[in-house]
Amino acid sequence: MLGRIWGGKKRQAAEYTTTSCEKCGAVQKRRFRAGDYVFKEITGKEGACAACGGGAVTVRSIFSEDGE
Amino acid sequence: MNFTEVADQLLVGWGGSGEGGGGIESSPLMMLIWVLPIILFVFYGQRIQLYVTSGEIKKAIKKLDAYRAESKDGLLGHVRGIVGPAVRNPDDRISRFIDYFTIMPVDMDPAGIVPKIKHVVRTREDVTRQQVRALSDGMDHVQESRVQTLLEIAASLHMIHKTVNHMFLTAKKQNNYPLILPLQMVLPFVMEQAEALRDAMSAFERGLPIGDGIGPMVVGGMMRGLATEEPALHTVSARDEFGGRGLILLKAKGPASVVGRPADALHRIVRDGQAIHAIVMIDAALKLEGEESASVSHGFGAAIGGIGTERYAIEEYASENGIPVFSIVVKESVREAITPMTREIAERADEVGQQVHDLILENTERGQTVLVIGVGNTAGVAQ
Repeated sequence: MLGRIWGGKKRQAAEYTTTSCEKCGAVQKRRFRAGDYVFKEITGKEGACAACGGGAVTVRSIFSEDGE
Repeated sequence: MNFTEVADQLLVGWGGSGEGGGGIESSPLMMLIWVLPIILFVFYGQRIQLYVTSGEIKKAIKKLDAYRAESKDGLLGHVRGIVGPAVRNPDDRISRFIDYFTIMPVDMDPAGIVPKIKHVVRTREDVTRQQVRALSDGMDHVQESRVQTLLEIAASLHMIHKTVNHMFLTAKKQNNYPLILPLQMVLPFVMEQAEALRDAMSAFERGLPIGDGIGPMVVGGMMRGLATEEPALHTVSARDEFGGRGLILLKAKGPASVVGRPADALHRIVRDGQAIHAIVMIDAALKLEGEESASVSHGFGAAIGGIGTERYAIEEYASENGIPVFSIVVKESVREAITPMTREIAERADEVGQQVHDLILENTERGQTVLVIGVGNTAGVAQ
């Protein structure tokens, strides 16, 4: 309570990347990695969809959010 | 001794009920206690206020100095990380860039001032870009744009610190309290901007999209899978069709940290013989206090910030040709506009895209061509 009155400890924001699969449309959220940018098509092993294991995934958005 | 007795004794000098109480007007000591501060405040009031206010301003200047140093160190560290040991000591050159100034054209006769401002600003941009490029041959376009943006931030923080410090020292030197009042009034706003600029450094270093990138994000999404052209420096366009209307989509070339040159691109498209029947601009706009962040508003006129030369060119073309200009803005605070995009703002992209389509259907006819411009810094947002 007193912490809130005096400003308290600031919550740390973290950056996240959401990707969507071109084949099944599954949306995944993970921590932002260097080199990510919106509409980047991630190919290869790293780009395999976690849901269907098939098609390439595309970065849909990158945003900042208060961490837990 | 009970309470009544103590109170009685204390009231002796105040004309109380005690024995020998002569009243306040008859006590020279009490008169002195009242009169001295009055004299002190009449003659030295401003100076006392100056000292009190000085303390607050000094603290703010110390913070600004720390932000300035942090941004410079961050920039140097970032540049050293890119150029590596091949380039010897880029620090001197970077320090010189930070101290660059721009003299705006004389405005005693304001007619024709816009091309002059454009020329001065473009010269600064072009020369800085060339000098950043000269730091290393191995620097790609995206890295170069990030260094240039970081340089602009460091130069802004340097200028803010210098200006606030100058105003403070001038007031102190002259012992002039009224001179310090305007500084005290604007300082909270200046600090808000300086803190936002400091926090923006890490977003640009890491290539994260910022709140201002919502316009390019909406148009970038509409451009996906289409063939693109580069009608102006750092600006991409693509052609599409929607509801029987031709669409020309325009944004800065991402994921570099650039804003592009939409007015130049518009002139190029028109010069190539393309008729435009409506312009739709999507941008981030500063929200008023109390307004909800990431709320979407529709309006009329060119939604584009900056120094005004781009807006002037778009307005001139639109008014000469009787073309309606529609705007869709996403409301943000100063801080949100230049720091990593928040979840609320990012989630608006699809909704705004839908609203652009609705606006086109409602305000144009089949067979017409609409220019859709995503305005803002496209850092971390491709197409």
